[in-house]
Amino acid sequence: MAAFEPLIDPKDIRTTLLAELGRQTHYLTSMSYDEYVDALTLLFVPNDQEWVVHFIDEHVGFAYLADSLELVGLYIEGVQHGFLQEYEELQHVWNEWSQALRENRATPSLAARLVTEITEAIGRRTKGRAPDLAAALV
Amino acid sequence: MAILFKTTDPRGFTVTCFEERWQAHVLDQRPWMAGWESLVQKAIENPTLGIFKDAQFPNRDVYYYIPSPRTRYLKVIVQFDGDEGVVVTAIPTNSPKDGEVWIWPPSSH
Repeated sequence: MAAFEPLIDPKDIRTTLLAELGRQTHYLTSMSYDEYVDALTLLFVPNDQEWVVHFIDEHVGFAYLADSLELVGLYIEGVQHGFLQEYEELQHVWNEWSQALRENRATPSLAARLVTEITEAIGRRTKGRAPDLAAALV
Repeated sequence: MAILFKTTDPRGFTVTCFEERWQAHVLDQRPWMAGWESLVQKAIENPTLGIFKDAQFPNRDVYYYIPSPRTRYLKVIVQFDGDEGVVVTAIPTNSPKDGEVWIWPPSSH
């Protein structure tokens, strides 16, 4: 059986594209929550190229493009099974967004607020484990 | 529900992949995974990196496989009811995940 360790050194994941996007006034952000899987995907580029997840803990993974190794988003597993309990500061905005979705009144600004709060919280909390990637988020 | 494929894992457990779930939980999330069905089936039949217990769901097992090119792993999550499983989702990853516990092959413990 092959050794099970990262195939790409996380230090090789590039943040050039995300830094470039950060300098733009407007750029695409997409968010998708799959309740059955309990996974949330946040992407800052169109979802039309293969991306790979580098997990840094039980829930949070950084998504990077398979070809260029550019960081392009976040993938979170176990959102309602541990992640929101761990990231208590996100509970309020998550509940607000979930309720708005159920009542069919979710707005782009509420979704944008959720994306911002999630990326900033993860950026803050993962500084020690993946400093370069975390810095690209905040 | 229409079946995309039905196969057996190395433990002899039956795993089914339904078209509707493949569409909703793989293709709607990652449209570029169209055509990956045979890789997912291979991952279940021959999980080269082993089978793990999911970190969050006790009734879900995780199969890891190395497709070509060897630049990422394919992670396949299967939900079991007894020894019958259904594919939940599949995603390429670079690393194992904290909290997943190795359950197969048993000799590798």
